Amino acid sequence: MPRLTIDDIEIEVPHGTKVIDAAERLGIMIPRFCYHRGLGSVGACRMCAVKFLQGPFKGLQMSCMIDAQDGMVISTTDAEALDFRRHVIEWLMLNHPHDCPVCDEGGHCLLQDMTVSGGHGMRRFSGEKRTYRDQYLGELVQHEMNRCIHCYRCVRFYREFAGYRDLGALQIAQKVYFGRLADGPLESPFAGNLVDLCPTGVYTDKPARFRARRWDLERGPSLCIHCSLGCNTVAGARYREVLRQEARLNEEVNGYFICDLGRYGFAYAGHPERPRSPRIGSQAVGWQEAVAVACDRLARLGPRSIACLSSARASVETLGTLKYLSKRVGSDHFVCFYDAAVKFKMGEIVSKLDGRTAVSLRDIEKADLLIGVGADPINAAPMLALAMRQAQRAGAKVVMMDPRPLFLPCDFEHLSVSPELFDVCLSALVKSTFDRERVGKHGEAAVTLYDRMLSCDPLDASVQARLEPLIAVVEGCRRPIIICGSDIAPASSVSFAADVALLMGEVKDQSGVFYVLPGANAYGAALFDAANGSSFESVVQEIEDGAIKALIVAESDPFRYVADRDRLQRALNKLELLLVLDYLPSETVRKAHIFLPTRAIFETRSSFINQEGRLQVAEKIHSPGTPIWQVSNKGHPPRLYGTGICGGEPRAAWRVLQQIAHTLVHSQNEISENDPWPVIGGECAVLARHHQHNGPLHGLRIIPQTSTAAFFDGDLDLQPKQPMDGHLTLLPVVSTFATEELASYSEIIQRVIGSPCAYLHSDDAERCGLLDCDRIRIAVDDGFLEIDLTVSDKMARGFLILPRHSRFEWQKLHCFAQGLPVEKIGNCTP
Amino acid sequence: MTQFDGKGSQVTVGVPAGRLKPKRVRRNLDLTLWEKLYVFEIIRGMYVTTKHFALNMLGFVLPPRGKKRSVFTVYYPDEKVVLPPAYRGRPVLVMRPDGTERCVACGLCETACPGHAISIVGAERENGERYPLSYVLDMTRCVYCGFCEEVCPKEAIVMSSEYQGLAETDRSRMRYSKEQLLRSEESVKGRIEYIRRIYSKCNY
Repeated sequence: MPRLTIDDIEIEVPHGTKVIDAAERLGIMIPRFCYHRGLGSVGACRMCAVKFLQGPFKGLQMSCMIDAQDGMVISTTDAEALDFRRHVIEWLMLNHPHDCPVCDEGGHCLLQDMTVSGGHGMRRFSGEKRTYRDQYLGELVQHEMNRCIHCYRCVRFYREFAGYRDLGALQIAQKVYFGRLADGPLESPFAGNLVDLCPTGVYTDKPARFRARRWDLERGPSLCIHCSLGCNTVAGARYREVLRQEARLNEEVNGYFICDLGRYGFAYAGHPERPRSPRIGSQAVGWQEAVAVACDRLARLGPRSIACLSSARASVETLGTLKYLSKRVGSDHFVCFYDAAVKFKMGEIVSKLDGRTAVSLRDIEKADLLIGVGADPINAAPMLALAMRQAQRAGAKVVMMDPRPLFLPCDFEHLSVSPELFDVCLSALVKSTFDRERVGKHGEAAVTLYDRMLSCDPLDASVQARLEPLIAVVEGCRRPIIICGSDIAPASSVSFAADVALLMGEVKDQSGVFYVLPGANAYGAALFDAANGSSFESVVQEIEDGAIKALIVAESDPFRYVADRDRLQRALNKLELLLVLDYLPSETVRKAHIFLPTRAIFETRSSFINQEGRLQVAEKIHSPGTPIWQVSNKGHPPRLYGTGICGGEPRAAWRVLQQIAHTLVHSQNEISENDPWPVIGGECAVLARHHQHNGPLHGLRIIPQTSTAAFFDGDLDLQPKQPMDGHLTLLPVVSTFATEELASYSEIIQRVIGSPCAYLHSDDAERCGLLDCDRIRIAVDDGFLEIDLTVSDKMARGFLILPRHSRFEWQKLHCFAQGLPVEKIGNCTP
Repeated sequence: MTQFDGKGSQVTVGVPAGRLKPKRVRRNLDLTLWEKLYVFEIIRGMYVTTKHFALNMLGFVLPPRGKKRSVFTVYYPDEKVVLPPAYRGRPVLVMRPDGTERCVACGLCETACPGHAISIVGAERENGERYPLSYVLDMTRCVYCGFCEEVCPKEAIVMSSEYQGLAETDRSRMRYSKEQLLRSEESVKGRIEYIRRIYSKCNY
């Protein structure tokens, strides 16, 4: 490892470290515009010049372009370097407008900081400034090209790092322009990162435009809870409202970037209709009365007549305390997943995922083979697609098995097979890499699984032909990772993928399985939910039978997920008590007998467990209360001389649940009511170790080192169901911005989502007499569903892919497996 | 020379730290014997006081030549005082000749205001110009420090010499909107010239 001296301080850094990074390790921040750790160096801005005094290089050099080497002596404060940098700032400012007062970047602008610290206060150049026409780049990013200093960060990120083509460098020399060929929204779901990356104000955050300066914001570490990856963010709130989110560096999870859903999906917390005071019926009451009435009514019911319902978006604190409450009142029912199949898959995942196979997004970037099994990264977990692109850029091969017409921002091999064939395809791909002897180390069950893999029937010729060359790739790879969805992938695949990853670990340097889960805290929900056998179906059944008389719903909305809404409505009407705790203006909240408002992620410290079992903490950003813009109609903050905060009633769900639990069942030694973790630890053995959890920087993996789950023993050789003539199998799938529950309450996201669109294979379309851009009608039990159709060649035959889109009532599709007739009713709505 | 900024990292661009030496203040002034005696200074002071007393008492009766009168007391509100431009009265917004405000809603006065008296909501005109959709000044909180005027990059808010109507019996009436604060450039011309003069001496 090279040792070098920077400003008289010695440091030893790993090979390949740039001098600029080595200095940063010492706490010396060499100014830079174009260099970014996530993007690498280009040496475009000339700002990071330092003086090399001794060693292989001499004189003034760019510290971002030179690897640290032994014997280097560097001065960052040499007079020559200082002078050079001062001139660089001056010529960058030649064309930069003096519009800091009207620029939204003002206050956290790198160029502004450097200009001030470089002492460039007077403009000497008296010529005309270069001007450009700005473009409309959609609802999320504001473009102001005159401010550009040509560092190329935007293009390097957008084209090279993220792999999208619609933004680039146009024109030449002095007139280089960064933008699109024509006005229009940026296509990439990672476009928001341009706001973070731009060292000056060319790209600024449009929804937060003119709302606040950086110093006005209450900022703090938060998390994105819109998908299962748990990307780290910095949330900035002002006047009781989150205005802006930025990516927070977490080397293990999201790196330097986040997707647009995570960046702009926060508005649900400040929804104008968000319920903010406790209610009994439709009557707003005080907290004490509401909790007292709720406890009173619960106490009158028998122990077995209470059911508890939560979801994968609730925090670990909420889930743990609800579980505690359900145990204390003697309830048998604690449900977090509405779909029994999803619940089963989550149980499998929690039991299978261990320290040997779990991988982070960083490991995916380092992999040399990625096999996707029923996963659609761009739609289900966008940051995964970005990590996959980095792997592919480094030379990895990407193979995706999926019936959907997948899109990824990288080259990949798409095997469009139906979900039933995932197991066969996967075993055909990997079986030749194993040998019986090595597999045998994992015991008898592993050998049985290996034998079953060998005996799989070959698939039909076309798939077989495409598999052949890939088998050689699998044999040659050293670090394969299986990416497995939990949405359309059958339970067998979920289980089988983990076993294959485990067995491959024996013959490869490193292997792993990366699951994409159905919610931000799906792993945590499964930890609490897995042990009991009750499902939502059985809860509804028992409500109808009259066995369950009270339902406690904590941060969940069954109306959103359940197909048979009428049945659910009837069942809820039979309840004696529907107690709802939530922060969204959902259907369930409106129907609640007693409603207690809870705090959103920004208003309380809460923990979430992401898909690789990493426990991460989001800190409280601001106190709850109705945003001042809503109270004062976009005006001056009111000077009230009362004691309470308007709309400041919401409390953390775990506090309320704990209070209810302790009121209902008295005991001598009560656990502290200020810390939820003793209670959570009591409910979940895995989390018991983390009583004193103080939120380590990169989160804490809570998965066991080795799991004791048995090997997959189901049948691998399933044949796909033959579709009936003219009938298609409906496959509901996730859609990037349009599916997620919280985002559907977020006004900014609602502005950018496109119209829903169904996909059909061209052969099927021809058979059904349908064309691309037709508007089709699907007959369901109670009426019809209408949607636009896109015909694609890159998908499996026999499927009609339907998005779980917030503008498409997919909940009406009661039974997905059964074929439904489809007919054309006209052309696409423009 | 390196300096540390607030985040603990070294800032290596810019002026070497040596230049920022604090100014020495001399406290032991050398007084002359005349000044040390004090008695004569006291007599001189008493002369000024007595002169004003006498003029105020007799000023109406004996108007001095050339001047209208030499009385310092003003019969307010029948008479108004003309204040020098250095006086810091009510902060007002400067209006351009076309009737729009100079303010670009940058938020600096909002930040600098020690009493949090200012709130601005920015917006954009059709020609891409940023302007304050609403500009609220809460005079119950204003301490007339003039920081808003000092930070303003557009000379859009100035401390006018208005001193009337600053006190009210109702707090809600002391909250001024943008429309109530706008004044023509002409009416605050003196103050603008004055702040140009005083702030140009500061070396930022």
